[in-house]
Amino acid sequence: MKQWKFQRFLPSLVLILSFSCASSPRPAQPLVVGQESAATRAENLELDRLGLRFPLVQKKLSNGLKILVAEDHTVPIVAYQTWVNVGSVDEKFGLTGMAHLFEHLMFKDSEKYGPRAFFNRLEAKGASVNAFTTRDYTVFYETMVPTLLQTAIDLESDRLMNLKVDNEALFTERQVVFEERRMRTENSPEGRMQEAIWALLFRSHPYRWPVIGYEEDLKRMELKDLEDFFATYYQPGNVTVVVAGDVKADAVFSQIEKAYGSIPGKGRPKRPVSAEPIQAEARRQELKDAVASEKVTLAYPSTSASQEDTYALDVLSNILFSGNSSRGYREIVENQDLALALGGVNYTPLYPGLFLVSATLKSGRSSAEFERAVEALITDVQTKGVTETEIRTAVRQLTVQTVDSVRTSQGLANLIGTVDAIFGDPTRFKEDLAKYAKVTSADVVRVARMYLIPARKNVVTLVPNRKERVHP
Amino acid sequence: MKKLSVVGLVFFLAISVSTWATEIAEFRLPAPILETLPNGMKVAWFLDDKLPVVDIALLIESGTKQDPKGKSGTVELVSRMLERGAKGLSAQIIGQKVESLGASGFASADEEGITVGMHGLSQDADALLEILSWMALSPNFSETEFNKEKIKIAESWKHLPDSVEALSGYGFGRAILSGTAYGRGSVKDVRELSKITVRDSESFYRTHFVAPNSVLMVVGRVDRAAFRGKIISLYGDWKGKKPKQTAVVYGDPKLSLGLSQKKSAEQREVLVIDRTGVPQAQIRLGFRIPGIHSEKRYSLAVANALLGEYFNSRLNLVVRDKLGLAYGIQSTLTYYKDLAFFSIGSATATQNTGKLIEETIRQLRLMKATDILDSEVQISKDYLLGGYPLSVSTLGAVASRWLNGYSFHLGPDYMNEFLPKVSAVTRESVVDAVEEAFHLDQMVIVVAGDAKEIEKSLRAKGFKKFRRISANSLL
Repeated sequence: MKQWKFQRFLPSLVLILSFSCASSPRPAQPLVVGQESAATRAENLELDRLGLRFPLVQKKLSNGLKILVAEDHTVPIVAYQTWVNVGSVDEKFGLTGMAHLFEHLMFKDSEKYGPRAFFNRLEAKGASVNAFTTRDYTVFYETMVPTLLQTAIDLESDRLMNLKVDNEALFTERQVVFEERRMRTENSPEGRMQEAIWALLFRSHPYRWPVIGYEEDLKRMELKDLEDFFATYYQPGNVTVVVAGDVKADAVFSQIEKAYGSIPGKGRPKRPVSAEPIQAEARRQELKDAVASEKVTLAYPSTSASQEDTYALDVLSNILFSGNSSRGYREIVENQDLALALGGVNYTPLYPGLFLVSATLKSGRSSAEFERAVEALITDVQTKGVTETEIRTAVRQLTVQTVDSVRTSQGLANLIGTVDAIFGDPTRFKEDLAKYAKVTSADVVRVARMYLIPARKNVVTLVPNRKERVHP
Repeated sequence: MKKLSVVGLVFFLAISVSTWATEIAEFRLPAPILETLPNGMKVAWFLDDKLPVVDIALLIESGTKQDPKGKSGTVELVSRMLERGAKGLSAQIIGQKVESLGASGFASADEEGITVGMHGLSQDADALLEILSWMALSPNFSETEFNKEKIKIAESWKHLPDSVEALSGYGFGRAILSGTAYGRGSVKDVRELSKITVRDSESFYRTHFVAPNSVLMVVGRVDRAAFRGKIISLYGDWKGKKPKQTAVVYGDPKLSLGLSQKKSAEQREVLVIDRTGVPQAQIRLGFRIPGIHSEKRYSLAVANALLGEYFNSRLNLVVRDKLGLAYGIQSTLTYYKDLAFFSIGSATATQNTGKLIEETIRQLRLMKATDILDSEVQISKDYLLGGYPLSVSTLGAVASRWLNGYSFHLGPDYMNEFLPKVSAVTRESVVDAVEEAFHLDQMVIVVAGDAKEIEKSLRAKGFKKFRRISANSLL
């Protein structure tokens, strides 16, 4: 059915600001979890006023499997998500892309239910079945009518115990991943820029390589590498199951315990991640492509999701780049007529991330002009601060984003899973709106001065038909 | 004991199946409250207390299809002007008013209509409705802003070749819609765009932005009685007569591929849009099918699903899982008010273009040769039936579905006819529908990417005739 939505024949100029096989940025918004205690209610005044309540219940099995259930009986839909605490950050250089390739292989075959069971038994009954991998975690999800829940539990627990992978599956799925890489990165100017900006900003940390990996690394992988990977990461101690929707929590706990209880757990593997040294000099890289005008991405090293400065940086990114009344849009798009499309976000995953600004410039305008304009915006904040109205607008925007993110069972489960994966506590977020509301102009000035400084700037430009070169 | 076990198993399966089937059969969509105000404006209410948000959208039932002759782009510019200032206030001031509430506004146009809307917290619903009324009823139509928007469209147009996917989608759309009222798209070309004046757009606005040509959708948490009063106070004086709708038939000679000439796929001319140097080709192929009112629609939906809509569909099983040729391949039925087409889209390493298209056409021919199993039809039906509740799991999705039915005149039962109609599809009706609708001898094939390598790959598979155009020649 053709939707009554705007479908231009004109190309989309909006840049993809985060890349992963299915990107899942930090929820810069709080998890909205209804709690009954007076203390929590006090913290949640804003949420109460909005009437948002999704009671969350959690349990941990003796093998380490964590279960989070949020009941929502609005519609007869349930989202079942399996969050595995492994992403590209856990890979070794030289074997990049393994977490994502493994995500593909998880759909191939298992001992008890045989090949393609998720598609034969769930998708064939209308369930939405898929998965995505990020730098920090891998998520498998099924969204369906409630009568299929038991099947989902059986299939997920079975592949955690009895996955079968052979060389034929590895060969074919590797070809599929090569095509995915061509589509998302090699054929896409924005995809190439995303890959470049992460590699430019990170020199030691494993965030420097792309989630999808490099083709030569994928070719190098053998069955034994994948078996070791499975044994280490795909076990109950490293997994959280999130269930949201039209279910009864007690019944779900019982079903899951029965299916997963006998699988041995090994606890959470350590993540030997090398810290990124403090950047001491600006870096830049120029790419070329057959594009109509220059595209630019700027990035500054930022915080991890759990750092307190994240709140002020999130508010700052909204003030600068969220909406047509943002400072950036007014100055760069409207007043200076520099860019056709502009976006910015404080992207804060598990480990310190990036404060990103991206634009497609108008013909004849240069990245140097754009950089100067962005620097002027930053300097203005650093020297003059921001207004209370701007902060209030940013907090309002973050509030609406929060509400929007829980419109579906899938969205609610995503939010709960993300918060748990990053903070290890799905309720950790309930005070986030209040924390955003407490951000002051002084906080914004402080983080702008601390993080958005010239010596920590990284710039990737994509220029039309010029020779590619890398500046030291 | 053994016999009992078997009986028990059968019983268990029967319970299991019937529970799923019952759950689906009992699924019903909420109907909106629909009313027509004295001025002819319709209001559709989709109310729900679940979340403290509201969507308010005003639909005007005239779209880019109604662009005046020689001035394609007029409607696109009208929609943009709604966001460029109203009631004497600048776009920036209006933007600040909306965004200070944490809300967002939009205006957009497609072939069938123009929509202007707001999304925000329910507590701000009155304010959002008022700002929406400024945008829809009192846009400034400033000449300066109008000229800026023309430049923006022209500038955006230049970026079409940046994306190989956009190129193939654009080329295919123009080719399959060639010679119809949809043939111009939103903007035919920059030359026509440059001829449009602010007066042209304003004139279109005055004719088509009238109460009887509009539907206001209110979705989410609001107090209906109070909000209705606000609607009447803001929109009650809006008047006018429903306009006569005209449309211009157009086909771009560069992109028209002789749809009426019947030839086998391999003998047809393949449109190749050159973007030298990219490693992956973007492929679109398809043909026209009977329109939205055809009684074959639901059988075609089942045929489409089993061919290329899900992971276990025929195309995915072969092209992705067996041959590893693509990350994905998907077939789609696209319906406009007066026209419909079937299409398949995929992307593959350039040297595999011929192989992927050959395999895709082979699968289409197998379907056409009635090689369709009862079991496949049942699986596809179950897939569509079980997936339906997911596709309408938010009130916004329900409202969107209702709007499609309303604007396409699909009748009052449309909202809840999907499940029984799909349930009634049989293997025979699928075979009949495929036989009638799959015009393989009128196929449009469009490939964007490195033309030289694409043609080499296609030649190796028996394709002989190519129309190569440069990406920039589309501008």
